[in-house]
Amino acid sequence: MTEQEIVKGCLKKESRYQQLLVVRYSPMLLTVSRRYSPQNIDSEDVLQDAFIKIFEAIKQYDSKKGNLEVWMRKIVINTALKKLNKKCFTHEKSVDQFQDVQLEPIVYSHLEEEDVMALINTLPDGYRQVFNLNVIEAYSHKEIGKLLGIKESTSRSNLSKAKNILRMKLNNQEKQELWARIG
Amino acid sequence: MGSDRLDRFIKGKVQNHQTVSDTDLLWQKIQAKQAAKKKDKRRFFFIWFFAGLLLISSGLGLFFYANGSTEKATTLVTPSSVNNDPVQSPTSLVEPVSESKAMENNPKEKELNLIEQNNKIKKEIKIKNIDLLKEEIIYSGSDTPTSFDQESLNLKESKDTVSTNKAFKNIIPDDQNLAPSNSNFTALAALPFRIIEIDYSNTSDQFEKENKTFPKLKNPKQYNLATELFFNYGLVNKSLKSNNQAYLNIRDSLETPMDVISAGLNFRIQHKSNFYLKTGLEYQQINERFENYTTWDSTVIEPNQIIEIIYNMDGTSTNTIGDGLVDESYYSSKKIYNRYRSIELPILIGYSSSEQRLNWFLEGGLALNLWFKPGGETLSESGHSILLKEDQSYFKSRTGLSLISAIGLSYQLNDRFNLSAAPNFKYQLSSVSSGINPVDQKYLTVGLRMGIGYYW
Repeated sequence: MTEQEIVKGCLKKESRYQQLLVVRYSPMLLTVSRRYSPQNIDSEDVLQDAFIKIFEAIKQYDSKKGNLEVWMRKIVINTALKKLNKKCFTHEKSVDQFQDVQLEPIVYSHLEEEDVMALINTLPDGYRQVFNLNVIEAYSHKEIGKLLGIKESTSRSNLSKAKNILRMKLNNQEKQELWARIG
Repeated sequence: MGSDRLDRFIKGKVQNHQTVSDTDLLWQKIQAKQAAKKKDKRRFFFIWFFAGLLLISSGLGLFFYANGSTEKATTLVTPSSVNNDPVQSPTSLVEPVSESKAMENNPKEKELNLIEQNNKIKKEIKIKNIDLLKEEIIYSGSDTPTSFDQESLNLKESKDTVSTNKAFKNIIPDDQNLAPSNSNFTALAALPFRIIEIDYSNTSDQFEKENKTFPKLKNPKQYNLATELFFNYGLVNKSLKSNNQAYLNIRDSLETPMDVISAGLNFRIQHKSNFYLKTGLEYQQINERFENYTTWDSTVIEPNQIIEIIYNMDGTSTNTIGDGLVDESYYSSKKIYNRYRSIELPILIGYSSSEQRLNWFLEGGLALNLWFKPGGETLSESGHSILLKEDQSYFKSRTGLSLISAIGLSYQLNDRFNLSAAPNFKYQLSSVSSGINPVDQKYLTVGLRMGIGYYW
C-alpha cells in the first residue's frame, strides 16, 4: 500500500490505515522518540502521544511541502520536547569543566548504531536535545532557540558541551577497552 | 576536523536507525489512549453543554424577571410622576388638579366644584369589568386604607382606580374636608384629585397587559390538575465496567454514544402551596454509533511472481518466474447506529413559583423503566458481532430505576396554557446489561426539555 493511500485512509479516520501507519513508521519514529524523550519519561509513551497527534493533524499534512516521514519526525520531536523540563537547559555543568578532546576516527568507527544511540542517551537532557537537533536534524541555533525557548548562545554552548562530553566518553571507553586487551 | 567527522559518523549511524518494537502492542496502547481521549472530550462537552443550558435558562429568567418588574413599576402612580405630568391618558389613573387661590379661600365654592367634577366623571366613566377593577385598585401611599368598599367610596354606579397619597392629603387642611360622615370618602373627595375616564370596554386587555398581572387559574382550587406534553433532546455519557479490561477497551473504542431523544405526557397535581407531584409516560431513545472492524488473511495465486532465485558462481543470479502464492490481508469496517429504546414512568416531586407570568421550578424523583429494547449490534467477548434484535439476552428487558432531576422556567401564556424549558439529567441506577453480558453498561443523559402545559 502506498504512502498516499495510507494518508487518505487516515484522513477518513479509518482505523485500519492508522494501524498501517503505526506499523510502517513506528520503528523509525521510536528511534527519534528515544533520542528526544527526557530521561525520566518512557519514549514509547511519547510515541503513542505523537501518533494520536499525527492522526488528529493529518489533514494539515501537505505532501507538496515535504514527505510524510519528515512531517511525522517533527511531530514526534515536538511531542518529546513538550515533556522536557525547561530547567534542564540552565542547570547543566559549566563548559569550562570539560577539556576539548580531539578524537581519531579509529576510536569510534567500530561503534554500532545501538552503541551510538546509547552514547547519545547518556547526555544530560538539555545537551542531548540541542545535539540531536543540530547534528542530526540540521536545525540552526536560531531555530533551536525558538523551538526550545532558549537563547541562541545557550544553544551553541550546550552543543559544545554535548560534543565534549561525547568525545570524553568515547576516549574513556577506548582507554578501558585498551586496558582490557592488555590486562 | 575531528568534530565534523564525529558529527557525520553519529548522524550516519543514528538518522536511519530503526528500533525494533512490538507494533501490535503499540497500536493497542494508542487505541486505548485514543478512546480515553475521546471520552474526556465527550465528558468535557457534556459538562459545558449542561452548564450552557443552565446559564441560558438563568439569563432568560433574569431577563424576563427584570422586564416584568420594570413594567409593573411604571404603572404605579407616584407623587412625582403625578405632579410632573398631569396630562390625562387612558392609562394614567389619577391626576392632581391645580386649584385656584380663590377656591382654596372659599370652601363652599370648592365643594361645589368637586361635586361638579364628580358628577361629570360619573357620567363619563363606563365600567364593564367591575370584578377586575375591585382587584386592581392601586394604593401608592403608605397610610392609605387597606380596603374600600363601594359604598364608602360613594361612587354608586362606578368603580374607580384610585391612588391616594400622603403628600396630596397635606394640601387640604382637615377642617376643609367636605364629607365628615364618611372618612374614607372624605379622604377621596377632599383630595385635589381628578378621577379620569377609563373606557374599560376598549382598554381592558391593554390594562391587563400593562399591569403584567399573572393570569390566575380560572377556578383556583386546593389542588389543580395539569397535563404537559414534552420533548427532550440531550447528550449521553456511557459508563462501562468489566473485569476483562482488554474487552472493555475494545468495546469502549468501538461504541460512541451520540444523543438522546425523548417525548411524553405528564400529569401534574399541584397543591396551592406550589408543591406538586408529577407522573406520566416517557418514551426515550439513546442513539449510539458502533464501528466494527474485521480483518482476515487469505492466500491467493498470483501469476508472474519470482518463485525461485538461483545464484550463479560468477556472481549473477537467475530468477524463475511463475505462479506464486501471495498472502493477502483483507479488512472491512462497518458502521451501525445502535438504538436503546425504553418506556419509563417518572414519579417526581417539585416546587414551582407562581407569582409571576414567568416562573421557575425545581423537580426531582425517580423513573421506573417499564420496557427496554436494544437494537443494532455489539461485540461479544470472543470478538463476534451480536445482532441485538436476534439475541436480546445481553440486555435486560426492564432496567430498573433512574434518578431524574430538572430545573427550569415556565411561562404562563394565559389562564390555561404555559410553556416550559428545563435542563435536566437522568442517571441510571442499575446496569442495562444482563448477567451474561461481561460489561456493565449505564447511561447518564443531560438534555433540555421543552413542554407545553394545560391546566384543567
